[in-house]
Amino acid sequence: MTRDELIAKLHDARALVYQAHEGTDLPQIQMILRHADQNLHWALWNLGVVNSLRPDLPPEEKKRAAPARKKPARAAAKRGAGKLKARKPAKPKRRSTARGRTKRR
Amino acid sequence: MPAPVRHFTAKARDAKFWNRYTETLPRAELDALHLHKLEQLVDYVYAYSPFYRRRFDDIGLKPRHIKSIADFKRLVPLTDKQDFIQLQQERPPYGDTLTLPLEMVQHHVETSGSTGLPLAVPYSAYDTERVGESWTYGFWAHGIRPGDAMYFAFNWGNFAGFWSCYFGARRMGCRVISGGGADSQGHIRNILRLKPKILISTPTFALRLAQVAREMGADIRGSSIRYTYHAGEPGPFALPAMKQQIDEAWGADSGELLGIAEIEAFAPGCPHRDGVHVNEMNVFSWSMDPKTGQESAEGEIGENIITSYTYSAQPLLNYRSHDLVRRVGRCGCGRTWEKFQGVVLGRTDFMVTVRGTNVYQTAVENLLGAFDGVSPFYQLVLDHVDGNDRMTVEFEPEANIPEADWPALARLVGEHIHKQLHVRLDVKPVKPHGLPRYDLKTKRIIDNRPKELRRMLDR
Repeated sequence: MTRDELIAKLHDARALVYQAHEGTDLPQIQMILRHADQNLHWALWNLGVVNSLRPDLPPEEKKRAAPARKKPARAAAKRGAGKLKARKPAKPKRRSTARGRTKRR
Repeated sequence: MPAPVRHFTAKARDAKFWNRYTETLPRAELDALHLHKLEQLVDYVYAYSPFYRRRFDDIGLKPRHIKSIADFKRLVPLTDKQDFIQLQQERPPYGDTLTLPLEMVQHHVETSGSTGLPLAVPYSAYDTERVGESWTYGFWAHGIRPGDAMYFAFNWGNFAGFWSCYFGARRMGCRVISGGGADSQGHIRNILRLKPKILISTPTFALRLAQVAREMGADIRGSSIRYTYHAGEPGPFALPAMKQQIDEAWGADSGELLGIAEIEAFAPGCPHRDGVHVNEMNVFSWSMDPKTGQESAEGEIGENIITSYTYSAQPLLNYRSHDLVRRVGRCGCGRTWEKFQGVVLGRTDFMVTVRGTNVYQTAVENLLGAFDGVSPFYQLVLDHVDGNDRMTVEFEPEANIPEADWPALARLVGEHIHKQLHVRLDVKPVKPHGLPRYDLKTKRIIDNRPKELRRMLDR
């Protein structure tokens, strides 16, 4: 499997984890899936794909970021710079994380 | 009994690197990744950290101004431990330094506080996983594998260093054996009974345990220990004499990781055992001449200025470590991550000028460690006499040296230091067990100089 294929599989896995997370109301399973998503985010990070510093930030964060190899970092930063001051700390939202990922794909 | 768990495919099991892709990434790609992460980090702290927002606003800095790595080094203000300690004292436990909701802080640790007030370090759950991963690169390169048993010769307090190592052991899949609550003899008995393969301790504590084992008549060289792994103070990759002593005492291969409790366990040992590599997936680091504030060139000694991507609850940007390092870009081991040759060569604040000569703690330690007849127990006492700094070396002679020979030994040590470092230090023998023992960081510097004559740092 090439690196790009591996990365695609990891993106798929995150999307599936999100679907499973949204499909259950069992707190235990949701927590397990949250850990699974963190590990998948970490796997992508360690393949050089850095979409966000954390997997559980609000969607604005995800939209500004780009995979390191696919889009020029400077352009990504410029796009998002103007919106920064308006953002406020927010609790992590699972929906946001996976939805952002699914849309990109 | 079920078959053993298969952790890896055959090819992965024989891999030289924990992650071949990241550990050998070409410099240009590493730098592109750094820039991308730094931009995100600057956005993040400006949005979520009242401390950084204030700092940035004070100088008119906006995240959009950071367009290159050079911009980041030049424009983002330097931070120091004292900044964060002050904020935490004003509003405990974390003050304005926190960038995540408190409910997301899932583990509280602290710096050792060995040279001042401890700094509180909040980890999110994700942070604990990521700092653990920093250890695994060094474990793997050292020969440690999943299923190996690690003995932690620590008490389980709040000190960040060994907690992060514990997280690393879990990520690697090692068996954790806690030595919490045991005294030195208890540690030796535990090791002989439970047969771990790896000893985790500070380097000086490994030497102390070996000495205790000898006094107990225990054959520690013939024990199950095959590897020792150390952090928290100058260790085997910084001090060749210490490497030799630990390897001989335990009949094992010693390893080392360089970490800064409030930043990251950021530099796993090099397989060549003469330095550490900066984990460039988790941190960004550069060197600065502490006198001029200008960036130091590759190969020159400079202060390590470091930024962590992975401590998301309390990010530290352009943080002054006060560690003096010699940064090199290439290493025969194959890693492209920058290397600190000799690990930490000294401290900006533990350098004293004695009779016109700059004297670094580690330089003196290296000489003492290699000197026959000098035990691992010594300390450097700083005084200020007649307008000048003075350093006195106090050491315990080895137990087999008769007391009558101590003055001659001290004279020889003094002459050796003079020959090597071109400075005359007072050298004083102390009776065996006359100096304090430490389980965590050994305190080597006793600074009796008036406060106003010391550097304004707490480490």
